[in-house]
Amino acid sequence: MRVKDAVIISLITSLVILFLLPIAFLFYTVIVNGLKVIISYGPRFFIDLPPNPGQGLGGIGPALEGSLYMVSLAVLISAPISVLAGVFLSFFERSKIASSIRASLELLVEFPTIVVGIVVFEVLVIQFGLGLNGITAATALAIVMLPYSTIQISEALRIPKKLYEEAAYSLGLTTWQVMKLIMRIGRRGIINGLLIGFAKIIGETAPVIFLTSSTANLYLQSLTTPVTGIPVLIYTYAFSGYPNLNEVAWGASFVLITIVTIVFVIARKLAK
Amino acid sequence: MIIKRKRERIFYFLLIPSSLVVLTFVLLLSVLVYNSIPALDTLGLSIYTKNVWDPVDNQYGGLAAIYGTIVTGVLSVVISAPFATAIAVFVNDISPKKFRSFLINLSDLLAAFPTVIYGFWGLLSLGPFLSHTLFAFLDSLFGLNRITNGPSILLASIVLAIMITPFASSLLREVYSQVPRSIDEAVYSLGLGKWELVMLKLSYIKRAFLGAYALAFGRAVGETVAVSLTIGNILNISPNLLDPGYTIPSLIISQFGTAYGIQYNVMFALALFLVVIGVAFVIISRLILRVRL
Repeated sequence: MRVKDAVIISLITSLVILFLLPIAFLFYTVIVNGLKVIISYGPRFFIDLPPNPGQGLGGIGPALEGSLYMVSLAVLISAPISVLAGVFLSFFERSKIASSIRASLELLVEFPTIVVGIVVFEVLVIQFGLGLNGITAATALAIVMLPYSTIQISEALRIPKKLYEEAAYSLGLTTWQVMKLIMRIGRRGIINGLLIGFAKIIGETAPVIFLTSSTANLYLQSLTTPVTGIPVLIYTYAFSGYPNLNEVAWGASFVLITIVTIVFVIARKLAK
Repeated sequence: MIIKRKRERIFYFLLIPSSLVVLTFVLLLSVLVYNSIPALDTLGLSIYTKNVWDPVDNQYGGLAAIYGTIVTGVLSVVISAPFATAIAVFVNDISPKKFRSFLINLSDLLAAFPTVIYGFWGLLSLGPFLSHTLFAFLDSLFGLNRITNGPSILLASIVLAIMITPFASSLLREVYSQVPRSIDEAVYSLGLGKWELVMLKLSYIKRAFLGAYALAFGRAVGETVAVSLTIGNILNISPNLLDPGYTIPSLIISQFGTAYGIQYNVMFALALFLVVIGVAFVIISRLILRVRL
C-alpha cells in the first residue's frame, strides 16, 4: 500500500475513534452511575416517590407514570393523523397539495421544540384556560411527533405501493381496497414509524417543560392536575445542586436510555 | 369514470388529516407572530439589537442570546464537520463489514437519544473533565480567565457537536453512498488508491456537504435543554469562549416561566427570530440536497 493511502485510512480511522471516545464516556457514565443508584435503592426505584432535597435516595414512580401517560396519549392523538397523512402522501405523491404538505413536514420536523412548547402554552393554557395537565402536555408532544412519523410512514409505504398497486387494481379492487391492502403489506413500516415517533417524544423536555410541573411529585390525582415526566425530572434535578437529586437523575437517565434503546432495536428489527 | 370519482372522494377524505399538518405549521407561525407584535411595537427592533435585560424598566434586548445562538451553532458545526465526514467515508469505503452495520446502528441510535441526557452528562461529567484538561490547557495558552467549572460557550458547542455529528453523518453517508460506482471503477482502473478515491468522492459531493451542514446548523440553533444545562446562562457578549453565555432557546427555557407583561411577548419575538433563521436554513439545505450532487 502506498504511503498516501495509509495516511488517509489512518486519518479517517482515528477521527472515527476520536468521536467514539466521548460516546463511550457518555455510555459509561450513564450506565455506571445509573445502575449504582438503581441497584442500591432496589426495584422500588420504579415506584417510589422522589426524595426531598438532601434526604437520601428515592424513586421516579410519578415521573415514569407521567411520561408513559403523556406519551401514550400523544401517540393516540398523532397516530391516526400520521397514518392517514402518510397514505395520502404515498398515494397522491405527484399532486400539488402533496408537495406542499411535504414541504410543511420538512419545516415542522426542524421546528425548535421549545417554540412548540410556548405556543401550545399560549393557546391551550392562556387562551383556552385548559390548565397544566396530561392532555395539554400530550398535545405538544403530538405536534412534535407528527412530522417524524408521517415522513417515516409515507417513505415506508412507497415501495409496497410501487410493487402492488397496479396488480391490485387489475384484480378489480377499488381504490379504498387497494389502500387497505398496501397498508396491510406495509404494516411493519407503519409500526416502525410510530415507534420512532414514540422514541423521539419520550425523551423530549423542551416542549413540555411549561406544561408539566416539576414539583408534581405525586402519582396522578385526576385528569386535570399537572403531571411530570422523566426528562423534566432529569433536567430539574441536574440543576438542583443536591447530590442525592443528581443521583436520582442518573438512575432516571439510565431508565430513559434503556427505554429508547429497546424501542429503537424493535423498530430496526421491524424495518428489516 | 366511477373509479375515478371514487378515487377523488378518497383523495378529499385523506386530505383532511393531511392538511392538519399544514394547518399546524401555519398555526404555530401565526401564534408566534401575533404574540410578538406587542413586543415589537413597544420595543422595536432593539429586542434584537440591544443587550439589556431590565425587568424594572421593562427594557429587553436579546442580542447576547442571538450572539450565543450563532456562535454555538457555527462552532458546533465546525467541530463536528471532520468527524461526521470521517464517519461517512469510513462506513462506506474503509470499515470492515461487521463493524459497518454496528457503526450505522450506533449513530442512528445516538441521533435519536434524548438531548437532556447529553446535557446532564455535559454538565456533571464532561464539563468538569474538560475543565481540568482542555479548558485548563487553553487557559494557560491564551490566558483566558475562567469563572466556571465547565459551563461555557465552548462546552455547549462541544456537547452540541457530539449531538449533531450522528445526524450530519447519516445525511452525508446517504449522499456519499450515491456517488456513481463508475468513479470507484475509474479510480481503481487507473491504478490509483484510497487517497484519490476519497478525495474525488468528497469533491463530488461538496454541495450536498453544504446542505447537510445547513440542516445540522438549523438543528443546533434550535436545541434547548442540552445547551441550557451546559452554557452557564448569563447574558454576556464575550469573545472568550470559556465564558458562560446564553442562547435564544436557553433564554426562553429559563425565563418564560416567570415572564409577564411585555417580557412574555419578548419571548415570542425572540422565538420568532429563531424560527426565521431555522426555516431559512431548512429551505437552503433542502434546495441544495434536492439538486443532488
